[in-house]
Amino acid sequence: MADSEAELPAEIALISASEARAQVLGALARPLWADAALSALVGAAYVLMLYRLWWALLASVVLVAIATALGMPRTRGSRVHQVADDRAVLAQSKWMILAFVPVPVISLLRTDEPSPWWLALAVGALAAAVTLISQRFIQRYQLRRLASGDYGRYDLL
Amino acid sequence: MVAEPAGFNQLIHSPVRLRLCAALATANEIEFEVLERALAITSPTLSKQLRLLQDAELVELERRPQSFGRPHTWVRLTRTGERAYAAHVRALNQIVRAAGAEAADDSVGPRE
Repeated sequence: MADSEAELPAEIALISASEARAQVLGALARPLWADAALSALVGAAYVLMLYRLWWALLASVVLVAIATALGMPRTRGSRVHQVADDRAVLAQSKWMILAFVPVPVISLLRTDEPSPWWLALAVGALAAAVTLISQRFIQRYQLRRLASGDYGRYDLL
Repeated sequence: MVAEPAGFNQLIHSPVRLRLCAALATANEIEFEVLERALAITSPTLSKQLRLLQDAELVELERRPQSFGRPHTWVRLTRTGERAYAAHVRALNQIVRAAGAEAADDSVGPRE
């Protein structure tokens, strides 16, 4: 009897630690609206890029810069509601760059006239959708890793 | 009876401090108010427990000015804190495993 009483706290302690991790990760998770806003910016940047007028290209560069700044998963210490962790795979801001890999490809497809409006809208919508899905996926992946206590790099658990 | 294995840390083992360390181990650093809200710990209790961990050099607190509003306090596990927490969790797992093995032995019963 004494033995089973002694071993119970260790089990409860592990459960409590696991719950605490989940609670804090829930509080730190990036809200959907933030990802949606970022995706809308990326989509708008693509639409403007395909418009091919100088002011539209300039505006798209500004939007890309804003989206990149917003998309930085964690500017160390400056954000209250984001996971301030760069240990998990896909957590680093460099993954954000992938969202803009098609940019130089599109700029190479130069024509004398702006792209048809429907093509610009379709590409913009596709870019926004891909950004939103990838952002949510990256966050879910990272939170799952963090919640499970799977820290291969630092061998925390 | 399962003995306390190496790495078991009495300071960390307190319920609130264990939850704090577990929460802090999920991130490089967490803002004080986020910890308070997420773990539903009152501000005085959180301050007191963090001070105990800070005195043992397991956590670091840093007060940073914000662009707007009052400065925020950020909390992080130190390298020593990370190691101590990891060792403590390993010790807890060891206790649970040892207890499980003992229970299995008991269920087999005495051999003739």
